[in-house]
Amino acid sequence: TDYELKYSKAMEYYEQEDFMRSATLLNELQSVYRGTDKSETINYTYASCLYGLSDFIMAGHYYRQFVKTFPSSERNEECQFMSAYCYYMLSPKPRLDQTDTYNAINEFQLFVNLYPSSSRVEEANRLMDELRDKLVYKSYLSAKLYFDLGNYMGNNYLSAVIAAQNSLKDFPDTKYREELSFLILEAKYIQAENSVEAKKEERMRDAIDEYFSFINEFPESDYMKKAVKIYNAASKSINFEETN
Amino acid sequence: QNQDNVPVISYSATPRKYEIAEINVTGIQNYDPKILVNLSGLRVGQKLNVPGEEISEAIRKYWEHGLFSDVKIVATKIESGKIWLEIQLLERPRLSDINYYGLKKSEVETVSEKVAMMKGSQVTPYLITRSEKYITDYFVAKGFYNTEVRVVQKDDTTQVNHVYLDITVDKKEKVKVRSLEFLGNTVFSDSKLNRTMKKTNAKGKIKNFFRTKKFINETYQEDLVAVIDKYNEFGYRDMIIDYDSIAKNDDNTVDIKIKVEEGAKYYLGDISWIGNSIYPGEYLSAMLRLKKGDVFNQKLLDERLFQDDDAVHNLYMNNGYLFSNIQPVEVNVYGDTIDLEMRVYEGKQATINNIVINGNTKTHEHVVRREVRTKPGQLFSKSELIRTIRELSQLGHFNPENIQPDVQPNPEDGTVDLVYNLEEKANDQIELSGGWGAGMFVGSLGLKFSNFSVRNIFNKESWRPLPTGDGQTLSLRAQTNGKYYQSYSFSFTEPWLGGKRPNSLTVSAYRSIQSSVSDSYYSNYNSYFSSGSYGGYGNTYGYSQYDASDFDQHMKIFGISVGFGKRLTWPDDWFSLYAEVSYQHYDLLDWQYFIMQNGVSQNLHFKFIFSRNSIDNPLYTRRGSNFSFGVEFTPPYSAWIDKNYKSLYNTTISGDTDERADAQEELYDYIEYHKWTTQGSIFTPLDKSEKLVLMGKYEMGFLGYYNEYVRSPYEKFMLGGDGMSGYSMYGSQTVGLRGYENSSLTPRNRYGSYDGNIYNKLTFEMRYPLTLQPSAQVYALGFLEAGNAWSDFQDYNPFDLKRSAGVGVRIFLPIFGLMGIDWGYGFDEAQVQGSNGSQFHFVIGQQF
Repeated sequence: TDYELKYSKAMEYYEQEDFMRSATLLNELQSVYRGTDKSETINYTYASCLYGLSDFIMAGHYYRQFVKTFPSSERNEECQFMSAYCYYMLSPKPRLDQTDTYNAINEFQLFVNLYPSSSRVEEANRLMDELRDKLVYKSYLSAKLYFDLGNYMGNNYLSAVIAAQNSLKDFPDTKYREELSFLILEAKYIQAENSVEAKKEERMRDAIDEYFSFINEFPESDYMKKAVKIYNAASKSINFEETN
Repeated sequence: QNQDNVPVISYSATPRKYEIAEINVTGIQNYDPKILVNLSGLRVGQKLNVPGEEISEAIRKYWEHGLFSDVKIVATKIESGKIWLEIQLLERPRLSDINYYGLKKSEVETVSEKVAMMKGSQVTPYLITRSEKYITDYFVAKGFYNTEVRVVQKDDTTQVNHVYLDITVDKKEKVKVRSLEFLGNTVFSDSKLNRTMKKTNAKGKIKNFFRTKKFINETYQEDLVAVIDKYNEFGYRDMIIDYDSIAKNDDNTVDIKIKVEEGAKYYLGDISWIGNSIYPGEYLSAMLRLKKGDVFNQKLLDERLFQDDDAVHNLYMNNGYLFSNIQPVEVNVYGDTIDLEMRVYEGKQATINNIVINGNTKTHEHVVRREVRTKPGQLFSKSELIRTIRELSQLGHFNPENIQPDVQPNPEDGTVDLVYNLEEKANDQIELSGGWGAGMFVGSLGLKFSNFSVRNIFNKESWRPLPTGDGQTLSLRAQTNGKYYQSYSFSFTEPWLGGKRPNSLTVSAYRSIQSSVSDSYYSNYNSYFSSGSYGGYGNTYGYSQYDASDFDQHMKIFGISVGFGKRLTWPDDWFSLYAEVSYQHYDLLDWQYFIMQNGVSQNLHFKFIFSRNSIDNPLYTRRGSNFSFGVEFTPPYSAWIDKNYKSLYNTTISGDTDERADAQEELYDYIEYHKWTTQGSIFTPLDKSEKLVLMGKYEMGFLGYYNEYVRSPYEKFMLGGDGMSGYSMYGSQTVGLRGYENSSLTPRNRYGSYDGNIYNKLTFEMRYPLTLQPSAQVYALGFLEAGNAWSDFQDYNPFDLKRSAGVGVRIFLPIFGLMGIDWGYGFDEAQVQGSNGSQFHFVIGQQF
């Protein structure tokens, strides 16, 4: 077998974007040229072929492998970015398992730390924001689910409040902040309303506090009307009890 | 170069910064030095600390490549802030291949998996010794006590620096136990101790005929522990094994002697509780169910404290005290009595903070989360955690053998995160079958998607290959034999209608068209269909006088139903209620095979099923029970409409052909009946590993009427056979009873058609799993069954049952669902002569 010919053909196929053929050849050549000067190009091209074939799992794996194996290569910056980008491509919709989303964020963060002056930093930051929003939306959905379950088998309003608060703690500057905040307000109010007399007043006051911090943060919220309504009802219920 | 010139690096001094002047690589045979320098991540001109991170990192990188067996980086010269580095590498021969001698093919596969040496990896002395050890251990564990392994290294002449490994294994013969002797035992007899030693048994004894006689040191040690446990269980807590001796004989056997020192038997003294503030000591003692004077049984004590479902510690664990602990301390030993002090540490109550769901790569998170009973803000509860695992496995979307909750406590703030790690499994099912019968092709295609998502039906991206993830069920089925029979059905279920409550909605519809069969096909037809549950009626009718290929004769059925299911919280939360409205429309024309031959029958009925289901796992059930009670009824038309039903009925019996047809049409225009069914099954594991499972099941059904002259010819029970309802007609319900031909236990009326209005059935089944992998779950079973069906309540005799026994096997494959084959032997004579005796039954997609 003529490895040199295979090598040049593989590069030729890669140029022509015939990734399938190129990848088949390169896969074989990888072990043959291990530890030689062609090794770097072969590994890089192989990973790029897999990316071209939309095999993001394996492509990501080989990009990461590349970064480890050839620490002083000029292609390292690109490969680090691509390894993160492959995770980004694998990240599924928010309703599914988000392991790849977390992986993508970690890899992009690593990229930004390693190459702070790279021209790709801006894109990496943008993609990370997108991924984080996905995670927040996921937690918003779970908080909303608890809210919707209501009193089905226990007090799910409390669960909704905790889930939403945890989400805000993890991602303070999310674009879903308003939705999550209003969900907390609404859940706290309904929880207070459903409470036994002994706990009602305290919980109503808590809901009212929540209202003030909400209008403070979002004075022009679309939820304003509903929020005011909750506030009126809550303060009325406390006054009513006080006069009793 | 001169050793004296090599600079000395002091590792205790403060690191100094140098600039790299030059890097050399030594000790390599077939790699380009330049590339090797690059691999280190170091470059000329770089500034680095010596000693420091960079050098260690470079060495680590070389190791990761696996190309070298030794790596050193030394400084050869240090001069005015510059450093000359030399990288000393040592290459080892690499592995071309491993050849095994003296092993079977299957053994080679297992062994090479354990040895785990890759082609192209380095061959080091360590790796060789390691593989020798692995292989020896593997065969010793299998009873080949004297196994010898030799590894020989041979050069590969075709590749530079490559070697072959020849591994020769001589297993020798298995070592067996010749005698097993106990000394010093007075409390337990030799044979009792012998039975305690589960896997170490002497050969040549009748009672050990079915037991292993191999000597395996590992299991022998386990058996010794079992002997100690046995004594401890009966209060002999001082018991020790004085010595044990294993004497080897020339004929590959060993003689074992075990000397025990039994000591005295101990009893429980006073039990006191300290540290408990929530539960009083008397209550905890009552929960413990051990009292003064009981034999001191460490095992029982552990079980009652920690392991049982109602163990004392679970009081705390189910109430948020995740950090709690109970420590039994022996505070006083006098004579044969031991006083126990239970030191309780209660700790803080842990509140659940985050619920994380991982591994749902197909199923949407809300489908899982809404079933999770541990919720943020609640106190931690072990029992709710266990119940959640059961609910998740009940969904059917995840591998029930691999649902792993991860409890992550944060003691600082008294919270706990629960992570549910799931593994998706394929649970869509496809059924495609075809066959040649009655001189024509009969085919059916069934698809069942158990994790469908309707809202994504217009979302192109989620079609892979179908929109999935919302846990909805869609099933489609078509069946035809071309000219004579076509049937289509459709069914859709949403388990959580509206997404806020687990109220299910089911909509289904079906249509079937059947034409008459010409008598040229008659004989074939009969033999074909009697293999389904459809058959049998050909026997009673001599319809060969009818003209061949009469397509004008037909029966068309159309049906639609809507059902609503609700989980109940009362009497307990295992209960559920299902309500259904259903309509069927039968259109018959010159249909010779039924009591009614012409006209239209309509059946509008309501159905309610009240059930309780607590089984732990839908596929291989180990424990739990499933009971249901159902009632189905039509409006009592005959009570509202004033008609002379008696004379109509008489006409259907004694009138001439035309009169009879008219009377039937009028009488069965609106079908009326009420139907009562109940069934229950209980599963109990019989062994400690919860593999062998006993199932007991009963079934009963009764079809009643409002008016004795208007008895429904539809909706009967058909008893006997495999219970497959694929060909069920006239709304009849097929009930299997193995060891008999299909429907052969169903009584007939005076016209010869089936007339099963009451039935009883009892089943006992023992199951044992052969494999529970998600790719294929297989279990074997043995069963005893008895049942019978009757026409009238006057004949009903619950003790007159037809009995059978047999064995079978079930296979569950993800795409194909449940399949199985049973062999049964029917002991009693059935309605049709010769339909009992030895019978094989094939089962698809249904459980007995």
